[in-house]
Amino acid sequence: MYVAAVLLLLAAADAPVALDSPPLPSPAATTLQVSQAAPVPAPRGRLALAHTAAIGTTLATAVVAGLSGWFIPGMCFEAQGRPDPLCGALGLALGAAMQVGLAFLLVPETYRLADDETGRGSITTSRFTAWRWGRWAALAGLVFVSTYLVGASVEKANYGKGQTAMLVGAIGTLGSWITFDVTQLMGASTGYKESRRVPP
Amino acid sequence: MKKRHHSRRARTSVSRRAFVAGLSALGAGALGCGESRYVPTSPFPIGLAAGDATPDSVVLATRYLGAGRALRVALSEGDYPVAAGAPRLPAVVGEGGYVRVSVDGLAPATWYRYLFEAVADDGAVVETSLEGRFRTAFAAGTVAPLKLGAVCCTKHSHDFAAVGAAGRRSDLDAFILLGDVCYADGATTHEEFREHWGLTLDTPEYRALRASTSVVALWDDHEIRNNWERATLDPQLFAAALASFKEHQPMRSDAAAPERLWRKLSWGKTVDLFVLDSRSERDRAHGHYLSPEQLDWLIQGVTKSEAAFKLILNTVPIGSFDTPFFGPFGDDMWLAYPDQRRQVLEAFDQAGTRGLVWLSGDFHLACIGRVSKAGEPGGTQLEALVGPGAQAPNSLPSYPSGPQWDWANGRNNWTELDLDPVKGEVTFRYFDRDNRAFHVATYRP
Repeated sequence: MYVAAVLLLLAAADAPVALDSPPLPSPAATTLQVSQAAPVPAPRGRLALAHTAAIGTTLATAVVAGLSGWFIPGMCFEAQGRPDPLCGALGLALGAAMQVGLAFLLVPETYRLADDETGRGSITTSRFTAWRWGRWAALAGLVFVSTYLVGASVEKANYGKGQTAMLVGAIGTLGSWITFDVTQLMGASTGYKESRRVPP
Repeated sequence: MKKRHHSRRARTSVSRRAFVAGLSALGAGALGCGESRYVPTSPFPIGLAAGDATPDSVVLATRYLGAGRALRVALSEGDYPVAAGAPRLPAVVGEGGYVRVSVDGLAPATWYRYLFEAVADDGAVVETSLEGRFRTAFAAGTVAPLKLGAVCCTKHSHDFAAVGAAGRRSDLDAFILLGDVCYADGATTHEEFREHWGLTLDTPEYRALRASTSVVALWDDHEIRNNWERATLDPQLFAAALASFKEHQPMRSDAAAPERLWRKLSWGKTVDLFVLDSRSERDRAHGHYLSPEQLDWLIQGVTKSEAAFKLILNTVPIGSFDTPFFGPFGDDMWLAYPDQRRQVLEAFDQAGTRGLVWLSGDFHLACIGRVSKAGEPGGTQLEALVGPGAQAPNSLPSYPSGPQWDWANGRNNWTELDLDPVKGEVTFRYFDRDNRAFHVATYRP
């Protein structure tokens, strides 16, 4: 998935930005920061650097979020010598939330690397666009984490009865997580490129 | 079936050894290095071992790589250091340095100590192994308490502390090595299998354990390949793996059926051990988890046994681990052979077999419960899972629990089975790396 993301981003970097690009739709805060002038393409080298940093940051946040999420069930296992389904659910929720939060905060910042004297983009626009692209995956993740939680609660009370829901929840969360990472990467890139203007 | 059980928490931690081993593996992987090759550490690198004790005989084994011209075994009765004047028996060193000595004429229910000596041309002793001990089985008809140990799943890159802890005990009448003792996955030649066995047994923990009492050895899948099946295995690979298994584990061999590993060992009327080979005789095409001959032997043996306990050494569990989480593993279990599973469980149910215990491993979790849900065949039969001895715990996010399963735990452990044939009770004690019992449960199967 990450390789696919890289390819998509690089392909997007190669695509010409239309000179008559319309102003970004909503919200007001975004349009305030983007002038009506046409976007200025970033040099390919700088854009590639920013893409690489964005992907690296996404991977790093995924690792941090994954480890954070692992910590809780790991603690429960250490204490009991066996896993606790609810601890697993808590860990999954924490990990997913960490990833959404960290990626939302950090990934758009990496596009500052594409700024130079020929143009600068709006990180706020990049972040907004990243969220706009990734929010449905995040919402799906929330649904799947909830599914896992329900399954874990059932499993805790009645062994074997909650495992299907836990499996659906875990696989769905993982899929949503990857989808969110890819889409928010693409959104952050798109938002940056569309907001890149000649510095005043 | 009545039970009493008492649990208490015990400390677990990632050992420094496991941590360093993990880092080393990571580093080796990063550098593109392969696994380090085995280098024997002493003239008797795997120590020594006694196996398949009967009331009057035992099989002794070692590997000798020293400079002596001949080898002999000194054996003395009693749980005391081998006497200087103890009788010496000649031992033949085979290809690769492997030695196996069958000793007969022993007294039942008696502790013995033994050691191997290498002698020079002039008869002078040049090298001596460490000293081992074993107890012969009870005489026929004897009813007496018995303590057995058991472990499985000991991968050589992991921490062997639990194995070492078992080796510090001196009151175990015998010890069951319940398969996946050696992870030889990837070995392709006889020499490579030997290297994997060396990496496993040429360790202070296994040397201590195997010297402390006699063993009953089984193999499971990782002695060759993960979830291997005979039909799809290269015959030469199988032959190399089998030869290596027999070189490293002391067991009797039937000249008429040299590939047969299933056997019965009796300790008087206390317990009959049914040692299964649930790997090499599988025939998926015909739905055979065990060969028909082995299945018939098992059913007849258990239902006609007059021992207080019938302990089936089973490697892969027979329990109905059929929840979604266990689905991906179901293909390797008894469950994938429903006709034979039902046949054997119904046979024991219908015979009203008392004192029946299925002892299993493989799953990287310790567990005790009933083979099946209430009302199904095997619903009153007891199964206990042992291990892992030196492996990562089962990583499933939920472990078996009631009503079918009474307890489960993933810590590295070894298990003691304390058999009381008078009361008909078996007490399971699960010990951690520090020999602290973190779970004790008594059943009357």
